[in-house]
Amino acid sequence: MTQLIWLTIALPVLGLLINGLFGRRIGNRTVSIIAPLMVLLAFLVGVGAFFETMGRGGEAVAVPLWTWVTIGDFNVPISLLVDPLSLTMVLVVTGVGFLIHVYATAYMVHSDDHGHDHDDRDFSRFFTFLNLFIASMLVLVLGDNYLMMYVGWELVGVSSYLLIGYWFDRPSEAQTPINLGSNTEPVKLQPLLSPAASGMKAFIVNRIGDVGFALGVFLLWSTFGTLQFNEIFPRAVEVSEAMPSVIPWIAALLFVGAIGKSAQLPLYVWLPDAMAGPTPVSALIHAATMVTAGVYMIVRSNILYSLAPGVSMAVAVIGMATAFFAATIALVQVDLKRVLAYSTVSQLGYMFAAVGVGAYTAGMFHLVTHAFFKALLFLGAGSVMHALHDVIDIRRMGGLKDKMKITWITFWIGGLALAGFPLMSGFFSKDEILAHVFEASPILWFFGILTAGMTAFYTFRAIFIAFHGKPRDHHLYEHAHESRTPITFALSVLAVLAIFGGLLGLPTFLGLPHFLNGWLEPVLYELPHAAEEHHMSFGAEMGLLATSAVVAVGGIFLAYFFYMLQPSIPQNLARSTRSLFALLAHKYWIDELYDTLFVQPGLKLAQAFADGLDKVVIDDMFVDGTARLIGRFGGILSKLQNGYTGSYALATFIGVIIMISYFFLR
Amino acid sequence: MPGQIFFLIVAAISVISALGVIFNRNVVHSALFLLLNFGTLAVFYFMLNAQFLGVAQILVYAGAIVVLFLFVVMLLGADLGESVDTWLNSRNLLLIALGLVLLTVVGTAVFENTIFGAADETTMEVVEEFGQTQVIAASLFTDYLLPFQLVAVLLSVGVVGVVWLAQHQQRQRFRRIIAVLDSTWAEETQRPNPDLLRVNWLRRKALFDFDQVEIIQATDHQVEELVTMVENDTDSWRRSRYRQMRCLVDPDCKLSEDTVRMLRHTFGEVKNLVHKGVMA
Amino acid sequence: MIGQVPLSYYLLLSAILFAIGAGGVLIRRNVIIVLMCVEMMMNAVNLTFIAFSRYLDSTTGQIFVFMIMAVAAVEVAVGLALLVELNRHKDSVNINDFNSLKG
Repeated sequence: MTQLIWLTIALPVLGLLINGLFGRRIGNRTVSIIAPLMVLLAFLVGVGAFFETMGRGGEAVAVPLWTWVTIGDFNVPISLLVDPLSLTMVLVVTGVGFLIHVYATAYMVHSDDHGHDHDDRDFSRFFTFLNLFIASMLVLVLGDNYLMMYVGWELVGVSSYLLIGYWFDRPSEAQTPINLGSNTEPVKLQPLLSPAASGMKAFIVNRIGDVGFALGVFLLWSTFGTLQFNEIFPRAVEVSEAMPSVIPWIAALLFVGAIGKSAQLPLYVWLPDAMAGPTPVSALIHAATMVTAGVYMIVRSNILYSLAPGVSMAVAVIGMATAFFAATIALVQVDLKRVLAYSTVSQLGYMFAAVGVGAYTAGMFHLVTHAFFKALLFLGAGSVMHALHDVIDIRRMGGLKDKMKITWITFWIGGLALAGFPLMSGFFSKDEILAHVFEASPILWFFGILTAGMTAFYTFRAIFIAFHGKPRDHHLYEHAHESRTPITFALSVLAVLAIFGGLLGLPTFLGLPHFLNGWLEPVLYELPHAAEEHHMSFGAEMGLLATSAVVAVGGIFLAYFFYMLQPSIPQNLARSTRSLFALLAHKYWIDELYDTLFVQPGLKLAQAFADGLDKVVIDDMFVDGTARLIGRFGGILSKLQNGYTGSYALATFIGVIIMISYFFLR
Repeated sequence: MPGQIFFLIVAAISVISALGVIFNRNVVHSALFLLLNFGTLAVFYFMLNAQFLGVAQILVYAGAIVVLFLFVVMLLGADLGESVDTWLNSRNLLLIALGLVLLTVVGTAVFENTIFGAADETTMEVVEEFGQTQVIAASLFTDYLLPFQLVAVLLSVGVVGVVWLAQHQQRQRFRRIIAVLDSTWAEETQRPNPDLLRVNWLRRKALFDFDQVEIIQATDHQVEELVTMVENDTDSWRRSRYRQMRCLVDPDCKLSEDTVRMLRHTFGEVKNLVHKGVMA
Repeated sequence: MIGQVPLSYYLLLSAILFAIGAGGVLIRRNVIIVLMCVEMMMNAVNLTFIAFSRYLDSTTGQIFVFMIMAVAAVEVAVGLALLVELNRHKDSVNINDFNSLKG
């Protein structure tokens, strides 16, 4: 199976070819069998490779396919790397990906008010793109060199762009203002971007990060003369001693790429707008897999970051700042998917905080559990949307628990996991991160625990408003119904994973087994002079664990108190701190700030170039000028073409005479 | 040597007849000189032991091509000659000079035996079979079979092409029908010559396959009627032709500006009718 | 009857005929005459071919002439058909009236 790992990429590619080329001919039912089937088969190959690698003790195996580029001594083989890290990602991508494919087969069928089902008009296009994404993501994680990683990095960007803009003809939507009671002016909200604009925004913002990533790859090449992981990492320590400044630069540039792809400060702005895509896309790409590519990249390059402690610290600070910042925005969002989107940004921040303080295993652990519970939450939100005919504003929901039992229960499970409720998967992974962060810097830990509290609060705020209480929109409530089997199936499986995902990394200080520690060990490079790991005392660990648990439960209870017991409190609070509330509701005006600072000047510059350089110099001078010049010469030469056969004959004869004279009289 | 003398006599005839072709007012005479020229060439072919081609020369050139020329002259009329003064001008004298230069150059080359190194002295013995039909045929049907076939194809293409051109002419010769709007005119139709049919539209008041419209004496209202009918025509073939059709308007009938604009919109070309005195 | 006529005689004759034909093409305006002159030029070339064929003892030249005759026949047929058609449109056989391809 290890040697057949290329099948995990080839199978989704096969699926996308079949669905892309013949999708309309083979019918939507066949499409909805082929697409998930290919991902399932890829998953099974991954599982096979997983057990083989376990048996080998985690030893990495390179699977060479062919040589892609050979320019002088620059050589890029297409070769796949099967090791614990890439297999973890493969299993998450294909496993969660499979569930989401299954989910999407039902989600992309829309029911109208009369109970009739209609397939989305571009059913096969959706699954083509989804397969494309799976294949691209697998290229990213399976490549054994930075160039293949970069190719995958760009391919997932394209798939993301295509899928966010999947409903490219939908317009931008206005949002209803938030009413703060009778005698206060409501807080107006910015309209939501159209899917097409969101796709472009995501693509362009990602591009800014990708420039950094590309520069990082160039610097790697010029420093090491190779892009192969297995040639760079063993030499990293030696290079770092010879040229101490270059490794931090590489690490920093690669991290710029990660900032873009994984939606960290200051390039996180695209992710909330990416929610304009279909919900399965949000779950798969913008929660579970693609946005974690940055984390994967840092874990993969762990030796480079370990050799650049300053950059690592910056990673941790940016990560924690993002976590805190996004959580505050999520507190007041009224759009269910956007709550989850900001939550994703926030959780990604945790992961970066973890890898920033050197807790690579903890980062990967949270990546995996987050993939489970955040995919679950998004799919739950999608199920609600589906039942309510695409209404996503939580202010119009309420009481849905009676109508949608499975969605409600699974959403609760996802929420508990996200909030870090004790014994759920998120509890263990988040606690592990916080423990490591505490070791590195208690201040960061403080922000972390604050964020954890806010996470619990905003998650359950959404749950209580959407699923509990009285229905707010009776028409919607009447028509709400539980979703169909593929959807509930995916939800149920993910719920189980969200509960038990924590078993991958139980707290070690309690003497429990931590699977990921042993599993990922071969991937992590030890620095030769690494400081002795001074473990915290049992009491400190226990205290941190208890604090996390208390904060999580406290956040949930606060949400219960605010939104179930005393619903007037949040409104009063918002009214009394209106300006702060508006600031959060408007996402700190960051989009407007970027618009003024970068987008408008950029557009003006582009306009100036278009009007000035392009129109005057290129169009008028070069293009039209050349045409005019040729036209004028042609006008002169066309005088020769006077239409008289005699003239033509004369010219021919003169030419013949000249030629003959040349040949015979020379 | 008698052979050379014979050659020189025939060559003189040949050159004189060639000059006769171009320095003759009468095209028929030119064609006859051409015939003579071709004949002398056939004699040279015989002298050069190319009997097959000599016969072919007479058959093809003298027999077919010159006759073809004569046919065309007959078809287009014999009085197509140009007077000498139309071409005996300075430009043409220059051309004659150029021709002489060409001649001198080639002639010099010949006498210096620079062409392919073929020398005068290498005159071969006369091989009896050389140039005989069998030899040509053997060569033609073995080494040159493919070019021979291609020539056959070329001839077929030529035949088809000429037939098509001829048929095309036939269609063009078909009778022209003119719709005439003339209130002073009583009869239904008029046929000034066999190729032309003039139909009184004011009497007929219906659409038919006309090729041209002439408005000689009509009111704005009548013209408008015609235009309305044409615009509402459902026949797609006719509709495609109106935009290319010519409409002649007699300035005497004083159509209003609007009507003329309407006509311009409907027909391809609206022109004033120049009186020839015959039609009216 | 056929004596030893040097090759250069034939070549010179052929050059003279070619030059006369060329002159005709250039100075005459009547398309029919122009076509006749073209035929004459072609015949001059044919004569060269046959003369060389004789003096080099090779049938290739004769084969060429055969081909040229076929081409000439087609050329005249098509050329004259076109001329008739042109005459119908322009009512003229003056080569200078056919100048609608002017630039």
